[in-house]
Amino acid sequence: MRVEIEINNSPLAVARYVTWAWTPCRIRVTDPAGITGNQATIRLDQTALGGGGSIRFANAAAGTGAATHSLSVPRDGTSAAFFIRGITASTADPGVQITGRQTGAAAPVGTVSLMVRIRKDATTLSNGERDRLIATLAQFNNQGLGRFADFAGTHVSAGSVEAHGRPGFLPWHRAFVLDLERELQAIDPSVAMPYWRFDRPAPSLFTPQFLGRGTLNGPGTTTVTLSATNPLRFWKAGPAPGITRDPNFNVAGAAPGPLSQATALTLGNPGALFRNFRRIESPIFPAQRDYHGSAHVSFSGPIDSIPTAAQDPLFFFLHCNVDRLWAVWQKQQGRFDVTVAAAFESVTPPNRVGHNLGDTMWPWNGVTIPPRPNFALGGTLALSPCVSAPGPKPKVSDCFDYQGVVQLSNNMGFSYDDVPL
Amino acid sequence: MRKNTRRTPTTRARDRRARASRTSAIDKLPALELPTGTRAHRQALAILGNGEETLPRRMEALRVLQAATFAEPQFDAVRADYIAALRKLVHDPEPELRHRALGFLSRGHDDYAQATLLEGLRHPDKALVSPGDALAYLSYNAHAGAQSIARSLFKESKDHVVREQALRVMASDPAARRMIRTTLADRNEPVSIRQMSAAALHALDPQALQDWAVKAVLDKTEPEDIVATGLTAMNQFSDATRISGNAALRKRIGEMRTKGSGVMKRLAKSITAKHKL
Repeated sequence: MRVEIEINNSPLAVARYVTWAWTPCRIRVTDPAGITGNQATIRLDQTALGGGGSIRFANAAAGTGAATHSLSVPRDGTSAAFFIRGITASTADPGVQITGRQTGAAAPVGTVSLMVRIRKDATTLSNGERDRLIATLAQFNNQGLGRFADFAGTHVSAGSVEAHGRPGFLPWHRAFVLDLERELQAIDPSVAMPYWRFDRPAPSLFTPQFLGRGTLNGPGTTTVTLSATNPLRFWKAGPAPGITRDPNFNVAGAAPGPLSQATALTLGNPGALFRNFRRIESPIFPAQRDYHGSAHVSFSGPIDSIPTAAQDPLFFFLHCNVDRLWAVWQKQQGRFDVTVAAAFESVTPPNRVGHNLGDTMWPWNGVTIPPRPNFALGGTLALSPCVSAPGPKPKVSDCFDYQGVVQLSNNMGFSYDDVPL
Repeated sequence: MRKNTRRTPTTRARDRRARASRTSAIDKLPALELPTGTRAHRQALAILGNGEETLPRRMEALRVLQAATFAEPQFDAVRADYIAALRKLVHDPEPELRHRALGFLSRGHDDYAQATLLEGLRHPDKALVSPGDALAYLSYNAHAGAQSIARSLFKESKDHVVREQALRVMASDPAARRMIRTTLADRNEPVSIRQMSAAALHALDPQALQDWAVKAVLDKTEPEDIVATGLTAMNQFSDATRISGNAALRKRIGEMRTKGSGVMKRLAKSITAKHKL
């Protein structure tokens, strides 16, 4: 007999990526020879491949799951459902092989390989993960003529009101980072957007082999030093080539401006309210510090200003970390469900358009009629072969339940290494 | 009365020394004793504009204000005043404040900052920052009017930084294409200038860069960093048939897989795998 195992309920190889979230899978008999009766009992095991990682199996998208799984599979080719989720992350593709065997038999009747693809702290990436990421970024940028130009051209002054200063700040940037990540995954599905944990030292990020080395307390005019083999040396996201960035702090330590994670997480108090938590965006007085804005101005160069920030690939590492902090807070406080008032900031009269739960978000909605900006670059949000959320024209409300905690179909297809399901 | 803030190209090193000596003080983020709410922005603006305040406090006020620009509606009430304060800082005696103000303004294509920078490039006695830094600030706007000055400075200057920044500005100037190609091929030019020329040519004429990359990789007398730059360009941006269809290139890359430094071996292996040679 033979079986076919599908990850994310898809026969496609590009769908064989999982996160910490429960992933729907199915198995069906493709060759019934040797099956006695109407069904076969199949045991599913896992083996770590070169990329490593591990998963758990379950009958339903709940509980802790188990390292192996047995289920009955109809002889007639009808699929049987099961679920898996990642437990430890892979470093390369493929990371884990699932093998199906008929109970009591040693010979496999079907296999499938997958990767537990997780967003990680950039300082923990292996050299291989780092090199694949920057090669993909460079290819996507494609001498300034690629789709990256749409990203750099979206995060500008004219579009700022869609993304900043209001409740949509966190959902909008979650979609923005995800859009870029999916574009990168269309080039190399093994990459995930890493984050710059700016309240901790991250010296390995600012090296010639990664995002480049600037001049300590330089004026923001240094074209960062990149190794001869680093493809980012051909980076061009503004009129001039090169990445310009000088640190305003010694990168051997943490950036001094941003709040620590522990302090930033308390900003939701009292009441664990989103309305309070979103104060991570910009300095809070009289304390002078915040989590997001202070990270931007930790460097001099394009990253320190709204009109140019997204020209620097560091922008996406920074915002991935801001998004991770939101994810940590959501997990701590149980704020994934938008029907829970404290999970968002719904007010009467409504917030500016684009900042209410039911509003679609620019630029993915393509709306260029006032009060929206008169341009919308890049089209709809990139789709994923693994998950269907948040859809091509996401609403604010589509960007909360990113691991499908409230509803499995809300899964946006990413997880953070330090934020469990 | 405004102090004399004119800067010559030789001031760059002095400015850097000054920055280094103040680093530790600036990193401490001094408390500004700001009030709560939007009054804090006004108070920070007052500290920033007060030349009698210490540099660390003024730098911290600038840091806080620039961080606050990321919150649109809350900052809108003081945005015009902030821009006006930055324009004043362009002439501040403190080089750090001057540079940061020019940076923030230039990234927003501020007319006043651009005009001031261009004036300094045309008349060095009026320059507020070194020509290399001025070109870097002007590079944010392809329409700032710096391209012809950049070409002139590239030809005339002996300053490595000036020439590198001039190349960046020239990367959006089709009239500079020939000059960039010539520089890229010139072995008398420093490696870093040739590497910046490669990036500039890539932006202006990607095909010309690929043509050069093939020659550079085949030329066994080129420095390793130049060959690595050529290989990296080829690996990332060339189409597979262009590489696989060139027997001499395939042979050379094959040699590199077993001979040469570890970097070259890794690059050669990468290109072999990616392009299935």
